[in-house]
Amino acid sequence: MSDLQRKRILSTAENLVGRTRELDALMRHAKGENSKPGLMLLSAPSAGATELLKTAFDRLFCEQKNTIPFYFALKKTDETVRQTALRFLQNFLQQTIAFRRRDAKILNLSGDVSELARIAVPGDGYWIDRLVEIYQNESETNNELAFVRQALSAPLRAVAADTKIFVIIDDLHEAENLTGETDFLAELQDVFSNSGLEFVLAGRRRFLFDAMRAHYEILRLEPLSFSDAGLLAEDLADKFSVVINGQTRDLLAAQMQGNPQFIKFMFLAASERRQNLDCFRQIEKIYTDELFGGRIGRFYDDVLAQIAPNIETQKNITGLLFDSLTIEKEQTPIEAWRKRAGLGEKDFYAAINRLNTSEIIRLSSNHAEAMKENTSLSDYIAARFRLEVMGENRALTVAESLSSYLKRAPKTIARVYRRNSAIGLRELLSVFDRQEIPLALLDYSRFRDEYKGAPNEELLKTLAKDAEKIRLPQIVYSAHTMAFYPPIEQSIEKERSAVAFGFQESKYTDEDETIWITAEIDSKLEAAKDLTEFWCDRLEVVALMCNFLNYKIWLIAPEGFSPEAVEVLRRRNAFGSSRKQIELLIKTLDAEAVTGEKLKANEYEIVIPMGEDTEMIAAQTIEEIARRHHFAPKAINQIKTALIEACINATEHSLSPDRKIYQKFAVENDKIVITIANRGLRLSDKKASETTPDEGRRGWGLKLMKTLMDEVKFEETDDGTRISMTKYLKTVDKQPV
Amino acid sequence: MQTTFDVPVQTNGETATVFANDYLNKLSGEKIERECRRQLDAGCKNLVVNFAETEIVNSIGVSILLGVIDAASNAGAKIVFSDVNDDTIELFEMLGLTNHVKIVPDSCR
Repeated sequence: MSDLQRKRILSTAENLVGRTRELDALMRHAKGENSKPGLMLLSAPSAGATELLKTAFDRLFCEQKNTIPFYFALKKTDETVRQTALRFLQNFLQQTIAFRRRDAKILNLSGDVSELARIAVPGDGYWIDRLVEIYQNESETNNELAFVRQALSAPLRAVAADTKIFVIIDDLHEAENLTGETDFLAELQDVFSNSGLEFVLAGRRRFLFDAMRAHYEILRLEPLSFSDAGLLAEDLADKFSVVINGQTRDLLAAQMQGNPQFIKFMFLAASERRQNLDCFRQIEKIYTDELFGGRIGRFYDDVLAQIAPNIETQKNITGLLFDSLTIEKEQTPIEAWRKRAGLGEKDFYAAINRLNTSEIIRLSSNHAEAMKENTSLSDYIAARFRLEVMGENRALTVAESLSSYLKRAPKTIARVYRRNSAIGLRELLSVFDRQEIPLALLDYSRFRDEYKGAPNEELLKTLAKDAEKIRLPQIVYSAHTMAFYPPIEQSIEKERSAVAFGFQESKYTDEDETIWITAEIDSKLEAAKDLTEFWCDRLEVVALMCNFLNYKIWLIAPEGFSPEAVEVLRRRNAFGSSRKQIELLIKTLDAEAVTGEKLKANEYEIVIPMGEDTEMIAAQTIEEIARRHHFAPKAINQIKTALIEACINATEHSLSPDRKIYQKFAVENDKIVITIANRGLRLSDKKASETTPDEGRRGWGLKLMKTLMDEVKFEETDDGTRISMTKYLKTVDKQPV
Repeated sequence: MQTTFDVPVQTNGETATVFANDYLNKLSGEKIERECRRQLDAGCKNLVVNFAETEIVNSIGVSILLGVIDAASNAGAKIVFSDVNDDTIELFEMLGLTNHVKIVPDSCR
């Protein structure tokens, strides 16, 4: 069982995918390892903050006995401050008693607090009785502030009785909706900031915490990364028995934009319909259903309904959002929104703030614009606008929407693949810090003349000895070019162009200031003169429009630049580099950690049919792979032999229904890992007589694998076997020159 | 050199040399075994299995070779594995073949 697969009490997810770092941060905070007692969790909407916090609660509940965990979430249905404080107190009593009695079932009881108090452990009796008194006297307490303070201070009574408490308060943005004389949030702050308790306040990141942030540790919860969203999709596919493949997994991850809730909605829907998500058509069909009256549609319906209960107001807001999404001028003055919303001033500003907190719109200096980058929101608004504002035919709207989603799907995926293959220019520039590097790492013509074609191992050594060096500037700020000049997005993906501000000599003068404008351009062969001029022009427009005075253009083309293109670069005092030079530059600057390992693609997969001698195809493949990665001939032969034995093992013993052997070869810095999987009988499914070697002469395959490889692991899957074998790279045999 | 059932063989008096191919698996192993038995039945007293062309032997191939060794022993014939490369020798050692048969390494590699 992994660390994250523990007993579930409040949480619902079996595996918390992609949140290990955040969960560890919460656990460290619970142990008092941070310098400030308060931690603020600022999360994007639907990023899974509640599941994360509940998982932290479950771990604390199950795995230790010293600190009582307390989880409380404000609800949409909380109406008044007093009511919320009362619920806070009741929850605290219930969870404390459940923890002390080590009985999670108490959390499900719906009895009166005095009944709960009867089952409290005797040692807590005094302060629990006092809290019960406060709870029961609530209706007699006219002073709301006093009652709220008493209720929120409940955990402090436990602390005073020498009991450790870890308080988690979730969904604080719902405090906006509470009515009453008391400011719930302010009181909460006041009570806990001076309490000495470790506590967590969690809510939507745009909720106004600015005034409070300085006093807290900050933990941000973003939508899942592309790879984690893919892992979540695989996890849910297993859980709901929905078939996906690599392409559909990536499309789900990309289209849902890392929203774990929406990814789950897709699998719930597929499971209910007994359908798979194994092609784009299926995904978009389910997505369309989910948007038009399914869970995704209802999610946004609820958000809008909470912000504006009146249907006509919702229509007005939908119209405003649609215009913001579709017309050229995205930012509209707030006053224009107010006129069209049809709300009184107070209600309007409350609604606009909630739209902002829910990240339906973005507010900036008295303007508002819809969050165009949110695909599902844009789709929802377009659908709702057509149906409710324009009154269009539903079947037509659904059909046209589905069609447009299908047409969009391949472009969505292509964008992701292009983004993921980007070098990471912004990150690379950010590590420029006046290092001295060989000029040949930036100047393609020099690199081509003196180093192109040289073996990798020798390149870095030889470059290091190159006398002609250049000193990089000290970069103080870097960002995607789009952030400075949005129209550049029409020409290039965000991740493939960056601007960096710096100083050449760290003198911090106007003369010393330098701005690098970079772009990764596409060209199958060496980039030609026209292409180079085109891009130099584009980037010079950026410099002109942003008023950059002292700038340097740097173009990167996969195969470098033609001689004519080099001349263009020279005339414009620009740098031009190939992808190879960038790889070497990243190694020279030790920047793999910031740019990521995007440039390597050392994973190979093949599927071979079971049959006579087909294992030789796999053996020849692994031989070629191992040779490329400088494994010694002896090791290569050992790997081949072990792989052949694994293939024979699968062929002879599995009774595989599809007669296929699935193989993956992953080369890392110092090892090769071979995974062989097949469907069919597992070792535990075989009868005893089938596993006894015949006179000791058969069944040698396993012995050979274990002897020839450094590590061998056998795993039974739901429907077959997986063998992982690892061989470590040792001394490379090299022929003397 | 004769080639019967795709297995090259060379005979010289009471000595027969059977040539294994590049990949000794079940199929090629059985062919070699058949040819070796045929030679033993024909009165061969010195049986050589030549591995000069053999790059890879799998465990099934090894088990079949054990059968050949047994057959030679039962026929009262000597058996030698010749021109065996280092990797194959390592394999034979792992599986205990070297206890039952004389192995002449491939000195040319």
